Amino acid sequence: MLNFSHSYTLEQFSFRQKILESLFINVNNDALFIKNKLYTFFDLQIKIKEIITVLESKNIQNQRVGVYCTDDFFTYCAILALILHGKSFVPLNSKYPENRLAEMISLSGLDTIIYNHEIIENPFITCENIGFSNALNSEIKPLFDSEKYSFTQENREAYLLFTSGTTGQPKGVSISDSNLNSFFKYFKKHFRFTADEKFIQVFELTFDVSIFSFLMPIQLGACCYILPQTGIRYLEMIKMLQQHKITVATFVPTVLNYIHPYTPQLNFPSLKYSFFIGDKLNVHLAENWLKTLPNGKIINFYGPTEATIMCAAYEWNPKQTTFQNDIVPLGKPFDGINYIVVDEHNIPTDEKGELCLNGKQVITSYLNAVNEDKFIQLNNSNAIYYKTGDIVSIDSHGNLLFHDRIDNQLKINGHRIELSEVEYHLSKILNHFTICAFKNKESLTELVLFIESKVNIEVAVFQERIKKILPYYMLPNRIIEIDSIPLSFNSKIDKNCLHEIYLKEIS
Amino acid sequence: MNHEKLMNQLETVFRIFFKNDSIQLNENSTADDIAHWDSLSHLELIHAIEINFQIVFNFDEVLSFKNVGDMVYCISYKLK
Repeated sequence: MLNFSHSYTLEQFSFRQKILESLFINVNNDALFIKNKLYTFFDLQIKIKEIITVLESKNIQNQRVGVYCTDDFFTYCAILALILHGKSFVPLNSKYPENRLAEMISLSGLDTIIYNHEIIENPFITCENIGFSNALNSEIKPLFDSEKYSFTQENREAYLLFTSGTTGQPKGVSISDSNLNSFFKYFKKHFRFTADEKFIQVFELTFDVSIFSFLMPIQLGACCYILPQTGIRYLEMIKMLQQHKITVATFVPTVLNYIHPYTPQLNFPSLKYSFFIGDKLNVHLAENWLKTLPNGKIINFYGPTEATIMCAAYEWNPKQTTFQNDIVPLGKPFDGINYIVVDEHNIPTDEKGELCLNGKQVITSYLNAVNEDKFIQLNNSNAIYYKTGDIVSIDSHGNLLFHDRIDNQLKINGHRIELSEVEYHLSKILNHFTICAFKNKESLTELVLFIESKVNIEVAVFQERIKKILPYYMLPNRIIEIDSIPLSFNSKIDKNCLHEIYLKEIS
Repeated sequence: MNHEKLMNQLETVFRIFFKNDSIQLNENSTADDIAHWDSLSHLELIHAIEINFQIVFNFDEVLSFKNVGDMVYCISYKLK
């Protein structure tokens, strides 16, 4: 039997150890609500034990194991099993096209994938596929052998995610135990969450904020409510917040754009924390949302995947806040995060400039050392800083203020999208086109594909083809046929003209 | 307005809104069945329905729509 009577300092904190302890200490607590079914920590133990037993029998040498994510009980247990087995998990989104998944598998050197065989059989021929089900096997004894579990190594990889890349190839972000431990220490130090909290998890498991929304409640012994990945999701989310009396919710600010007209009709007395991440949070939307929270706070988080989920925070207080351009500040960096703002020549500046990050949560290179120009040495030191591509300034209170992106990168529903990557993939099957991002009437960003009418494609056939090469969140929201792509005086694509065509189309 | 007439009018709203004359609605139709009916377009669609039928939905009603059948039921109730 395990003995968790010892205590340890914050410095010794290990998220793997904390999850292991929580599974045993909170054995009778509700742990996961998924697809209308409630599972306890005891249920989790049984499924995790089943998965670990199979993994042990396979004696997998590779530190990384892929999880084919089908957003079910199995998927969440698979991630926990890999954490407790000391492995790194690589989430593979079952909604992604086969080509993209194959590319991710190849780049990450995966040779083993675990998956739910009730959904699909042997998903990847290049790997060993190990199938499980959602069912709980009552013959499995839940107890772990404590001597097998030691989580002191901090340089091992915790997870590997992929972000959008300018060359058409996704970029691998390898997050270590040390990075993730430092991230969770911030919440342990600054928030008084209890085992009575009810978290909601609204993100796909390939989006790193899901790791916070899921692993934070598991460490606390609290319950995590998983939002189904179907239907009109922000409406389903509102229903879950109300029906289950959720106390901690993390979501992208875009949700507020959607429900903005209805906020006067909403009230969430149970919701203690509304965390926003993934895009800029507009002041007028934050003000309206706060009116729905008689007992709640709004905290605006900032963080690229390269800095482990979140690395700066700002608690919104409409009476004290200084802001500009209707954007809520990004706030102050977490403990252990260093930042420098640089100009276009990478020289530190006190003015507006590109935010560069370094510290315990920040990676110093991408997988396979691609895009090395994103990592630079600053201040004549050996410290490597990650260039975020975010233009910021610093206010008189030391808060980071967001201004704009430096490049072509967009955020749509929190997903990072490089227009150049979308163009690259579309160019494989299409000529005479351009892709733009425009704001619609609700100020939500749409990806608009303009195609010259001479291309003469059948839209339905084309849509089926692009679904096979682009992840769903990179698919154009609107396709507009035009006689020819308008060009400006210097022969560049005339985006202003295209914007006018778009505005006519949506009017 | 009888059920069939209401369903036909709603189908016309969907066809105009999504610029797709081949849309055929039934009571079980959901966002998963109709191209471009997604988070981005949903509330605009609701607004188009409100204008066409000259009604206003409250948010609890919007939340309760699981499929087209729920919409038809609610529109029918409001038109009485």
